[in-house]
Amino acid sequence: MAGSGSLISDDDLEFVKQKINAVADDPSFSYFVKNMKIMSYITWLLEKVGSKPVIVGGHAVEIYTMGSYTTVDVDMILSNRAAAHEVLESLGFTKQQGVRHWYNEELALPIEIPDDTLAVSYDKILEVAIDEGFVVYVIGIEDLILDRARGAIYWKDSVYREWSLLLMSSQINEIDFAYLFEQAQKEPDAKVYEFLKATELEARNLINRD
Amino acid sequence: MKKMDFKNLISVDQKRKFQKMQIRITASAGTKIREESAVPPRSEVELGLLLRAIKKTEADYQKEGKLIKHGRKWKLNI
Repeated sequence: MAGSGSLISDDDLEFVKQKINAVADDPSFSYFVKNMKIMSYITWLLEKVGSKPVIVGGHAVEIYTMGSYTTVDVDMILSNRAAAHEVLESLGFTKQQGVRHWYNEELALPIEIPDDTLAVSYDKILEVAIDEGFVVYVIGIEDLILDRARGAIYWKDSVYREWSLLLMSSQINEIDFAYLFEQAQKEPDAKVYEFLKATELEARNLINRD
Repeated sequence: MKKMDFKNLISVDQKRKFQKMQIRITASAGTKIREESAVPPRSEVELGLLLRAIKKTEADYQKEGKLIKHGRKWKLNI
């Protein structure tokens, strides 16, 4: 590959294309499994050009809930955006509506790249190994819950409110609550912090009732 | 306990996304619709069932060796 993607050899590209095609053509894989595998292959390539993609948004919710939440597109944050764009183009993705939205028609996979700076803690990121040597990086559970809480408060979105609760209830033993509340206190609207405090109580009640 | 199909619980999100889009379009056209009443939140029973389903999926994955959790490093054998 020319330009910033020159750290990727043609063999690397061909290898990943073959891996992606094998998954795409296998009808035994669910949409969730297919996307996870494809994202791990894309991550493998992107890391070669110094870009670390982190899955955020609905697809991150899907991962933490083992596919219980369904979403079509994959939102990811990455660094070295120019090199990453070249990689996506070489894999058959085309730009839609500016530089944020990418789509691969053959895979029916839309990718949205909202920002190239991760406004979350890298220490909290979840690393999920898929196949031997292939991983995906996922926003930390605390930052994901905080993101859903923002949606619940600022957009008054009931779906965001519910998934804040479900994520907190299902992952309660994994959550660093001190970090979560510290971040929530930095929000311009105190309602986010209050919402999360109330959600923690609600989550513990929901677990005890179960 | 109220009996509900898990797939229906999940598909509610998709339906509500569509409803919300419609609400936004209608709102931009000047018609007043109360969003909360048009898109009702899930009941406590539904949320409880959904939580149970999520935990069961995770437990099954772990039992079958499809999911191994080590703090912030997971292995998914899928």
